[in-house]
This record gives sequence, structure tokens and C-alpha cells, in this order.
Amino acid sequence: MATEHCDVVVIGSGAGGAPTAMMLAEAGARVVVLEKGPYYTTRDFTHDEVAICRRNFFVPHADDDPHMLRKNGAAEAERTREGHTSQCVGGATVHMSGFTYRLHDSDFRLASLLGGGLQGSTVADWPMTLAELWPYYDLAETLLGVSGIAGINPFEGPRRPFPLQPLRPHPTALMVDEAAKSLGFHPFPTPRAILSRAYGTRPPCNYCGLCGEYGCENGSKSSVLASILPRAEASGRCEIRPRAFVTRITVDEDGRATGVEYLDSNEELHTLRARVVVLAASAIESARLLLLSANGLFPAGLANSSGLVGKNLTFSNFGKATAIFERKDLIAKLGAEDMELPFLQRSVQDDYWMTQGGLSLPKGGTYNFLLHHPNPINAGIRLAMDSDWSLSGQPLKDRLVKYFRDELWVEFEIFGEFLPSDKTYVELDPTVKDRWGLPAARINVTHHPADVQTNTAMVQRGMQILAAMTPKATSVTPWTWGSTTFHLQHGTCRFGTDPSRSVLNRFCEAHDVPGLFVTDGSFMPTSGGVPATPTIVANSLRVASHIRDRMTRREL
Amino acid sequence: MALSRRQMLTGLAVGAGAVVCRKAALPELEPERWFSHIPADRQRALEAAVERVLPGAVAAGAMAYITYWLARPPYIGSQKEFDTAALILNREAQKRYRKLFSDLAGAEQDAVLRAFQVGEIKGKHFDSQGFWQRLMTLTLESFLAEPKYGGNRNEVGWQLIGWHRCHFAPRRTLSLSPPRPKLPY
Repeated sequence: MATEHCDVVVIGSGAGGAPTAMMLAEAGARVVVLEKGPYYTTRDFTHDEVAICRRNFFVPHADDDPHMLRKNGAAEAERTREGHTSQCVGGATVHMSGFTYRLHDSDFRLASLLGGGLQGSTVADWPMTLAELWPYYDLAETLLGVSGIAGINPFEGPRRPFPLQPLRPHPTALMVDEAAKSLGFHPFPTPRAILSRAYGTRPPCNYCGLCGEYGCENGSKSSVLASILPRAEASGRCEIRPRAFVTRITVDEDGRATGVEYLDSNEELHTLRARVVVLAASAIESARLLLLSANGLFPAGLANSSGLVGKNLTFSNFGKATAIFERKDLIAKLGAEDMELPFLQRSVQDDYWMTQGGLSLPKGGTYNFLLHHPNPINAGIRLAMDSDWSLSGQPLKDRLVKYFRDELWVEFEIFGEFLPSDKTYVELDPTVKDRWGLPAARINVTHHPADVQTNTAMVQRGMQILAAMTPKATSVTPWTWGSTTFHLQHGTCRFGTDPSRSVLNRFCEAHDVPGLFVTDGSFMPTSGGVPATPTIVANSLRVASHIRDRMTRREL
Repeated sequence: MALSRRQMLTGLAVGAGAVVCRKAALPELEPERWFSHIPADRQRALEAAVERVLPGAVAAGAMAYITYWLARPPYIGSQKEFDTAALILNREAQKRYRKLFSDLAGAEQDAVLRAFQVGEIKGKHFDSQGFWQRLMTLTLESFLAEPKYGGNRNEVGWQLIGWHRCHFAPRRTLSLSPPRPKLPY
């Protein structure tokens, strides 16, 4: 078992790991990034729906590397692949859709805004303000390459222009604009981590429409694989090791982080010593690794004197509804031009804070209007499922043809606040192991009734906008268990000022373990009303500049 | 085990009683060997069921596709289920119509399959609803997947719906064209 040395070891190469790796390598540190999954390049990113979206390209099979899932306090846990975000260099940013909203001020002080809290929820304020994160959002957008237009969304504070102009929208955006404005909403172009123009060496988007669930073969989607990691490697001081599975974070007798042990693709164990350990393996897997790293000094799991590692897990509160239009009606109304474009590109944040309706959780979130994902197999299965699997034979075939040739589905998705509580957390499964023989993560999920109520209210409000577009038909995807967005995960190592009530300090360093930082979504005490990816990138840059300054001063 | 909506939509369906099989070397199957491990009348029963799920799927290579994936994760545990299902299809056809499943008229086949869909057919270690959902899923996959897996022969499935590896026509020059006057941004 060889022992190596470096300055910084980063566990995970996604939205949380890559920015820190880049910034510290550019500042002169020798950085090693350990990534559990493979190192894909643009050549691996095909449009093969079966291989990319429906097998183990991004997420392992449940037989190999399972998560166990218990819903609503059920006694039995089911084996699932849910909760794995992505296992490849670049993490889940590789297959994201790239909706790049910033958090709002209300996300940072939800407990205070709720008058100190909410019964049954462990909601907490953040130990920093939006203003502290703001410049890092600017930096994140520049590094990634984000397109959008500033000054349209009245619910976002003054901000500098986006690096790139917005993507060209589908003509139905005009109908969303009219419908939303007629009801008093304020639609704005959705900011996207997709290039509308050439940016550096990367080409503009070719509007193929296969963003979410796919890797971008064009390099136009601003994953950290396309944007930040090449810069990190160009520093000459950042080495990315794919197929390296970290099994343990090591500490010295004083409880200081000293490095990691990991298995390479040949299942050989290596020891890597480092001055700084940065953990960014996703909220669920990071918590699992800390719990797996228990030792004599930390019997309940590393950095877990508060008992909060794995607790306060949050996802994003998801809702969805669909309006079905006839293409020929749309063409008659809007013209045929651009009818084949994939992005609707409109969002609404009027219900980020909902004063109406007397909700116990007035914190809503974001409506994102989009066209239905074009995947054909997914569409076929959805049509079958919408009929409770009774639609088959020629009627199914006819329905598929109609769906693809005659109809256009306009939908909205909701990214809403998912309340943290004692009932949603991750722990080690007592019996089930992964293929390396280590206990699997067991995920417990129970929605707080207040966020279900708020979500329902939001779906109804969003439906009003769809109805005002006078479609042929509308349908709601009901609030179901399946709609919890397991790939947007946060909270399992919440940051705070009090070591007994938080795992990390305000710079995301473990209270208990000097030299150990956690930079994925784990630090977030509350989920926020937007997808967290740009926030995780921005916070990773904030933490990295703190580490850089302390390393420069020889404090780390 | 009936599957949740999210599991099915994202292809997370795992065969009943799936077993771990990571590094097993899987031989490429010759066309004549599709389901050759079960008697010919049962092969024909499965083929007829697939054809009832989606007419034209068998001619487009659905059986090759399904054979391919039943030998690979995450469906490797479902091979036995499909073997059993073939047996039950014929048993039900005999019970109701005194014929083999493949010899039934279309409407009669549908009646038998409906019993699977609603979970009417009970068997030890056999979940008819789960089988029906996996059969539909694999059949739809076969018809609309990359042809390299054996289904969607000559891209007939894609031609039917107007898909060309990409639903929207990729464009190179779009960002240079002027914005349309109707939409300010």
C-alpha cells in the first residue's frame, strides 16, 4: 500500500469539487481529484437513449451500488438507484439541464422569516448572507458560461449582465409571456448554463434539445467537465483520477484531517496524504463517507459530535403540469419559424414568497416553463403509464405518432422549498452492502405537510398560466413520491456557528476536524427555491478562496 | 413488484429477484437462438404478446432486443420471469380458449394480456402486473432505441415518429440570425 503526498485532495469532481480544485491548483497547490466514476469525453456522449438515460452510464445499477429508500417511515427499505446524482468526472453537471438561477435573500433566513421556525421542521438560517455569495455567483457564471438577460426578473436584485445573451426561445414563449402577464406574473428568460455564442474554445449550442439526462457532445453545455476542469488541468497542478473510490478519510491523533484511503479500478487500496481534504461526493454520499470514516476518536462518524451528519437531508420540492397543443394551431397562430426549437426558456418567480392563501409555509419557489423532454422511449412509457398501462397495440402506436407529429406539450416544473425535518435523513444501512462490501446509504424521506400544501398551491397557480394559454387539454402530474427530485440534495452536513447544532463552520470546514472541508450541497441548511447547482459552484469558489488565503498564510 | 412511476420513466426498473452479475462474459446471441432455451410454442407465445403490445415491433427486431437485454443488467434477473410468463400465456389460452396463445385471435390475446395488466393472474413467485410493465417497457425500448441493440430495424420506429437521433434539427447558424420582432428576448 503506497503512500503519496499532495497539498489538497478533492473527493468528487462535480459542482462542489471542481471549482475548489481549479482555484487551489491555480493558486499553486498540488491538487489530486478522486472521482468514483469514469472520465468521459464528448465522444462518449451519444444520443443513445437506452445507454445514456436508462442504464448505468451515469448512475450505477441498484445491484452493484445500491441505495436503500424508506418512504413515510415505512419499516421496509427498498433497493433503488435514486439518490445517486452521477458517477463520472464532472458529476451531475454533465447531465443537468442547466437552469442557473441564483438564490434569493429569503433563502438565507427562512427560520427568521417563519418567526423562528415551523413546527415539525428543523429549518435554520444560514450563517452567511446573499451579499457574501453574490460576487462568487458572478465568478461562477463567468467560469461556467451562463446565458441569460439581466434586469427582466423583478424578484432578483440588481446584478451584472450575463456573460452570454439568452438562448433563442421557442415561439410558444410569447404565449407564456402573454398568459403570465395577463394574470399579473412577471415571466423572464430562464438563465441557462448553455452557450448561446462561442465562449472561449467552446462552440455555441446547436439546439439538438438533448440536454437533461444527456452529456453534451458539442461541449456547449456548461458542465464543470466542459468549463472548469479543463482549466484546472491546464494549471499543470491538478490531477484527476477517475474510477477512484474513497473508502475512508483519515485523521491524526489530534483529530486533524490527514488524507484519504481509496480503491483504484483494480480494487487496490492507496493512501493519499494531504494538508487539506475537500469532500464533495453529493449530500448523500458525503454523509455516508463521513459515517464510514468513524474511528476511535470519532466513534459516531467523522465530524459528527453534533450527531447531525446525514440529518436534515433536503431535496427540491417538485411539481409539474402539462398543457397539450396542436402543432397546426400553434403554426397558424405563431408561424412555422422556429417551431422546431427545443427551449421554451421562460421562468416565473412571483411565488417565491407567497403572501396569499394563508399557507403555513409561505416559501414557494420557481416555475420553469419548458417543452416536454423529447426522448421517444420515455414518451412512449409515459403515455402507457398515463393510461395505467392499459394503452397498448395499435392505439398506443397511433398515440405515439400523434404525440410526436401533431402535438406539442408545454409544461412547467416547480423547484420549491423542501422543509428539513427529523424524518428525512440518511444513515448507514444495517445489512445491505455495496459491491466493495461497505454499508450502503439508507435514505429516509417523509415530506413535511406544510411543503406539500405549498407545492399544491403552486401547481394550481401555475395551472392558471397554462389555462390562460388556451391549450387543447391540460393535465397535472399529481404530487407523488416519485416526484421528489432525488438528484437535487442538500443539508446532510449543515453549516452554522454553533458546533452543537451544525457540522460545518461558515467556511464549510468541519467544526470537529480541522483541515476537512465539505463543498457539495451538504452545507445548505435549507433547500432554497431553485436548483442548487450554481449555488454549490459559487459556494465552492467562496470556500476555495478561504482555503487559498489560509494556505498562503501557512495556517493550513 | 409493480413499479413506481419515476422508476419506469427513468428506466430504473430492476427485474424481480435480480441478481448481481457484474463481470459475467455474455455471448452475443445468434438470431436463431432467441429464446431457444424454451419450447417453440412458448417462444411464439412471447412473440405474439410483444406484437400485441406494439404492432410491427417483432418485425422490427423486438425479440432480438429483448433477448439481448434479458442477458444483461438490470434485466438479467427477468429472464426467468419471461420464461415463466411464456408458460402462463399458453396455460391461460388453453384454459380460456383451448388453444395456444399464438393461435388466438387478436381480441382473445388482448383479453389474456389484460388479465396480466390488472394483476389477475397469480402465480408463485410471479407478479403478472410487473411482468406486463417490463414487457411493455422492453417492447417500447426495442422499437425506439438505437438499432444497434437489435430492435428498431432500419430505424422503422424512428421513421414512424419523425425522430432522427435528435428530435429538433440541430443548427449551426442560429445564433447569428436576427431575433424575431415578436419576442424581445
